[in-house]
Amino acid sequence: MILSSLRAILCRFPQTRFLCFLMLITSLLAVQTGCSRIKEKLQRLAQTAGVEPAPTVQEPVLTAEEEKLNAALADPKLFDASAPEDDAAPKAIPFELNRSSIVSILGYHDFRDRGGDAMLINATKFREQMQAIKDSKIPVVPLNDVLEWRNGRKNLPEECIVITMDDGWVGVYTYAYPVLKELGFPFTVYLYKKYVNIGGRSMTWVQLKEMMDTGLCSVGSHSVSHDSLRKKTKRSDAEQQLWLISEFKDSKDFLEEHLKIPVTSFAYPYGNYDQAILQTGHQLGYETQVTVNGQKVTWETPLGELGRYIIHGDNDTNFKLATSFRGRGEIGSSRALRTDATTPDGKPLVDLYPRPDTTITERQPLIEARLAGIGTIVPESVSMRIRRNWAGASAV
Amino acid sequence: MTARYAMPNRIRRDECSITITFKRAPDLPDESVAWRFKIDLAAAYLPQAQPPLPVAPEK
Repeated sequence: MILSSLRAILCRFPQTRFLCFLMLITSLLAVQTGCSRIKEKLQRLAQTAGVEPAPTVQEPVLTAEEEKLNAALADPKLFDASAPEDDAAPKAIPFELNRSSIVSILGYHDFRDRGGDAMLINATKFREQMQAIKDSKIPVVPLNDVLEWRNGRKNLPEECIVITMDDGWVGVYTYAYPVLKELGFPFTVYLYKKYVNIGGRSMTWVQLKEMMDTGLCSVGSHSVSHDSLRKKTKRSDAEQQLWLISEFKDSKDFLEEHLKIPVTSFAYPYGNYDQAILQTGHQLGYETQVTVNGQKVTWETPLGELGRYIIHGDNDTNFKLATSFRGRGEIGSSRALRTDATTPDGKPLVDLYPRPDTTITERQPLIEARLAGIGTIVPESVSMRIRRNWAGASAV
Repeated sequence: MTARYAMPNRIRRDECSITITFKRAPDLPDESVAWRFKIDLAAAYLPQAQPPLPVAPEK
């Protein structure tokens, strides 16, 4: 009722609005003054009565560090739940270069359907060797992957094999290539200029291009003449250097012109080289040079001296050495069982965990092989080898 | 016979190859069985499924 009366007065006499506002301010000031006075009076009374006044709460003085922290906490972005765009994007697993890889390079020459000698492999034996590699699951990688690895651009499996073949015999095309193509194994052929497409038992350009078109075959140089690159007494130093340059350069130019590919790998004829030869080859554009030293390639091996195991047709020694990694025995003489092999009555020979070719999410799995289906096993003969790879690094 | 191996550390790579070699008799050649499996590294870091909570008995 009072409010409605006031509204009626204000509507009728608008000039009274300012007066009302002044009265309101005065009242508020009076109330505040009154409160202060009451407070003082209460304190005086408490002192007179001997009562301790209630302690007043003092705001603590903040240090400079606390002030800074408070200012930071006041930032509304601090409690913003949305992540910045950069962080929201899924991050790729960082590339970790595997410097502990070991590469075994096999060096073959010629192939025939029967017989065999030091430099000539029986086609049946070659298939057995390739099948043993396949069954052992040791990856076969192109030679160029070794270069990529050493340049820090690609990883290699912990243990892997590279296949090379020297000279350019037609046996490579007739006997080795079908096996390699069937198994999907990449390989490198080292050709020397005087023995390409000249008839007889040399490979033709057509055969070479057919193999290259599969993407499995790459080509390197094996010189012009296949003569040993070491100095011959009849040549002066200058003549030797000129001849050396022509052996490296002419063969490279010849192959690049005919095959339309960069030729960046060289195989020393007879494996003969010294540091001067090595440097000359490197300066003329060869990024990798292979020897016949039966040594595995590691991170420390110079790219101009990549060891190779020359595989002989009349004994398996080098093949066994080449395919034996870290002293764990060779694969050449072992018999590999298929993971899905069964007994005559259909029961599995082996039961493996984690299951072959599955993807698991447990990073620390229990590995188990139940071998009961095989029958009696010599307990001391059992060994387990574990390799951890990047799946993308495997070529096969 | 069962050959068993508990990995002592977490695998940091996305593939693991196992080769087991054995002999059926001392004078026989080695035999081997090899297999490989992959590790889904992205999934390995996700929270793993928890076992279902026990259900309260009906009254």
